[in-house]
Amino acid sequence: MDLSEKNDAGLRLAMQAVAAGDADAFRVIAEALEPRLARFFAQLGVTEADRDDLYQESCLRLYRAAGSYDPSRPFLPWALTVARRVMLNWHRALKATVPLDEAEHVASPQRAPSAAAEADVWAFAKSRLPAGAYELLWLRYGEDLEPAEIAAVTGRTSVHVRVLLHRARAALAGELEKADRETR
Amino acid sequence: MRAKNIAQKTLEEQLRSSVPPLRTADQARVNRACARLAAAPSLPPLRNPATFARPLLRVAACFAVFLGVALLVHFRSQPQATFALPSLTFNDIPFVANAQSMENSLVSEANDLALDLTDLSDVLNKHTLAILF
Repeated sequence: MDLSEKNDAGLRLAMQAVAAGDADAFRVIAEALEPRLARFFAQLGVTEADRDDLYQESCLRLYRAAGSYDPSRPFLPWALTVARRVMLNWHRALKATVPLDEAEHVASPQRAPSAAAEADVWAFAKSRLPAGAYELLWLRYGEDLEPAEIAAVTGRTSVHVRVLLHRARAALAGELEKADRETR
Repeated sequence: MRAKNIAQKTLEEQLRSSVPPLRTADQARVNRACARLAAAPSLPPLRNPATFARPLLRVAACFAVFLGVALLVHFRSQPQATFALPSLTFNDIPFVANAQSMENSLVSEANDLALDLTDLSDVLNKHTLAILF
């Protein structure tokens, strides 16, 4: 089951059932979320070895928070909000353990070959844009969230998200143009 | 401006069309996640803290109003200091009507007051002189 609009209603009902005490109903949610969160974590820099842990942690938190979920609101933005927090905690824990002499290498982005820019615009964007800008672009065009939903996920205002998205698109367009000039 | 809009739309389409497709769910991962939930039976779904906050606030507000009303009623019901009137009966009317008795009482009270005022003036004078000297 994917997380299209049609199925979102089913997942809302499932969460209501979980909130009412039906723990087995969470399996439906876990199945729908697994590929979605796997892709989400992969796009935002989580190593493959840790994706399973983060997925389990996200499921646990969603399960425990079932009582606070408002079924009148879409399910995916709420689930991504929880998963994003789990991911941010993982990033913070990872940065704290990176030795100081390696920190610069972790921070600086690797420049992908410009010839691959058109083939995989996402990999190109990931290599050229700051992590925050990339994340916003992914939430908008990868997860297909509206700016208001992205604002809820990231804890910003809708206006701020629109401004940041505009800047991210402009930055990406600039990098693509630069890469195009370099290949000529 | 129009060229910019077209370029933006082109970029957006490129981004959307390049999104990696979703794979099917990894059942092993799903099973592990569900097993982890089942292994923690003492962790039921958390209730929304707001569901407790509102009733508690209502109870606190009612209690505050009740306390305020109770205090108000208590202070208003306290008897004010009044002098005790003698309880007069029908048989006391001749005594009350006795003007001489009344006059004597009043004179006695007046004398007491005069004495009190004298004492008070004396004390004030002493203090005033003490300030001056």
